[in-house]
Amino acid sequence: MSNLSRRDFLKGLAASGAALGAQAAGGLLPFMPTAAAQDVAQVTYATPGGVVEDAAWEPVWEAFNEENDDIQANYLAVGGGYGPQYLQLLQARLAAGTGPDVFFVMDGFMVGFAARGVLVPIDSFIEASPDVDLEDNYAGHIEAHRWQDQLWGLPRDGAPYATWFNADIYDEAGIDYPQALSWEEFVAQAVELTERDERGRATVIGAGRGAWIDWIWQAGGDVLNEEGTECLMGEPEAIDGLRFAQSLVVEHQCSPSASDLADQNEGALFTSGRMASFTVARGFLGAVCNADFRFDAALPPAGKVRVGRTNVGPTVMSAETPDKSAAWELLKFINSSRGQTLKISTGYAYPSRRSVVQEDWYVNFTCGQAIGTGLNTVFNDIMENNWARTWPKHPQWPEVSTVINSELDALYSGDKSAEDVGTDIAAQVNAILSAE
Amino acid sequence: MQIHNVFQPKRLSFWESLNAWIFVAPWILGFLLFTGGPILASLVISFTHWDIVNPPQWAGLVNYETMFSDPLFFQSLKVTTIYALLAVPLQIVVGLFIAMLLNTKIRLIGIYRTFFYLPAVLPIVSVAVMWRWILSRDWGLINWFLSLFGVYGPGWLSEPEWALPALILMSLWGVGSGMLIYLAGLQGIPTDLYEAAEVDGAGRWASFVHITLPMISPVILFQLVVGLIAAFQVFAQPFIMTQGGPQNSTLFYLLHLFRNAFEFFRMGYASALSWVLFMYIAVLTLLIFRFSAAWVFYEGEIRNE
Repeated sequence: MSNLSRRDFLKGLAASGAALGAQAAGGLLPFMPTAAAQDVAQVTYATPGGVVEDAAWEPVWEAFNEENDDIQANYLAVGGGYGPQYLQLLQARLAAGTGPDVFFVMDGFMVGFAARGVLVPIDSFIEASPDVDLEDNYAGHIEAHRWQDQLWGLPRDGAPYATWFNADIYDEAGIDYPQALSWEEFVAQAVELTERDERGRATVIGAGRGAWIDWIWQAGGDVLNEEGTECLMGEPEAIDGLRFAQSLVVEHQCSPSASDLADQNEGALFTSGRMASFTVARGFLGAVCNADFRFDAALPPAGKVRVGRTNVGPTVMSAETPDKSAAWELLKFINSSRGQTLKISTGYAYPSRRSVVQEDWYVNFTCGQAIGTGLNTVFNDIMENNWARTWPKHPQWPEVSTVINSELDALYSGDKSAEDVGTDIAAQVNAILSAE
Repeated sequence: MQIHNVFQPKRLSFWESLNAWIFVAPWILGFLLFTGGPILASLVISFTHWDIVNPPQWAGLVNYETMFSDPLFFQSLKVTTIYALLAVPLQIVVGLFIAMLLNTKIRLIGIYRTFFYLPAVLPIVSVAVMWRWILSRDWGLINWFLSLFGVYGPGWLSEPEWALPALILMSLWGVGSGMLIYLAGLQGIPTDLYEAAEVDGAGRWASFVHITLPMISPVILFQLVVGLIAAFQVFAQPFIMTQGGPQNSTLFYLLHLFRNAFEFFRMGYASALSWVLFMYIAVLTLLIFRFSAAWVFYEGEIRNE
């Protein structure tokens, strides 16, 4: 084997460098827009994505691109799931200057983006667009996008919460299906349905814990005052809600304990037939359709006030988008009846538009072993009667919710009383609010 | 015959130097761009308020002062320190014990060594998910085993007093990598030392204490320092298994840092947290080195009595 001389080595290095450079330049060329392509505005929409979601969006882009010769909608599945990781990935793209033009953001986090100047308020675009029918959207879903008297996005869908129940478990126990129960009735049913073995392991759990915020709202309390300057979790009404939430797990043991949830979350407990009822959004239908038991959805329990939570899917516009009118066209289409109909063609998610909910295919939608029409009517009843509220809107909400979740651990384990949890949350959250 | 002085460094020619620099350039560039640069940047950022999207604003020492009023800073430091103090010695003891068992001449010893090392190469995410099941209160392997003796095991990951011990227990899963290094150390001990000890009437325990431990003490020091640094960088296990709960009982330092950086978008504060962690680890490492002279023995070392 011959030795490589220094001169040959350096020559080789230079040749390799030149080859790499040429390769890189050649590789980039296909992405450089041609004169014709430059006439078409490119608009990118970002969402967490996934196999099912990617397929659900496909007809939306096809229709939009067909109807808009001068705009090309591009789909960007960012990944990270519907949790903080998606926001981190999105944030990294925005910081790097490669952010999408239009994107989805979880409703509890939208205000944080708006406060930091990431979003464009869309009021002026709506005023200039007579074809936008805001009235067709449920009022609660639109209001979720309003902050400091400005509208920061439009819903792509909504997600009011109702109670899903396993009819087989109820029939076996000879108990009437749950429908708009009072707190007392709810507890009585859940206790009767719960079965545990001699070691306390749940074979059947009567009911899910329910969203903690629902119990607080239903007791007449709230998390923050209207101005977002003070935490109200130490007020008697909020403590009543916390006390009820705690009683389900600690006193009555009819809702899952932390140990029950360490193995399976509430959704998995329900779909595996180990939990009799569970309050969650309509989108859960996608999971429950495959369950091997009969099911339906019903109005959730109510305390002093009939109210529950609704999520919403804000679609917002980036402040950095170069072509705002093109981005607005896409945002408008995603919110439109046509856009939502195409997106929700699987029948699982819940539209934010009444007109879509009233379409025959949606009203008559059924799947799996559904026993009734509750899954198509109860969510509409909740929205039409204003029985749903969205998450509190505050720029520091992610931090506030972290504090609350940590304290809820102590509530559900029984390590702290509801009074202590409420006052401790209030103290910590007020410290966050005053620091900002 | 011309004799070269091997201890005198030979002066490199220009071309030799250039070649050398070309070969080390990728590492140097990689370090400067992807490690050194971000390290320096994080120091500057730690003196600012920065939400990633908007330009940073100078904040002076505010981020460092904030730590003193942040109860979660102290909680995360406490959790991580307890973990490091318990998990690292445990890993050293168990790793050394397994290495000694595997430092024997028996059939299929290579297969046994592979089995013990295998867990160390599995992805941490898969391991964390598997351990969630092993630690399940109702259906987990550990509680099933305890139930054979009439003991109802706790909710390992759901009870605040058990969650951190569970993660410490789980840290033994990766003990195989340490075991491999101990094994190399054990095989480097000259056998004549043991033979001489045997002639002198030393038993197994005396040989272990007076020969094995001193001879592998540099390896133990290495494992202690590396283990300590790794313990302060634990993130994936609490992130996947407990999210810092219950009741912040597994709120590790890096998880707290991560939340501030990527959930609350307080990059300045997160950077300050990272520099405090760096200094904390540096002080602990220096202390270990300072006191290592008392118990670490190097072959060929001449000590002034």
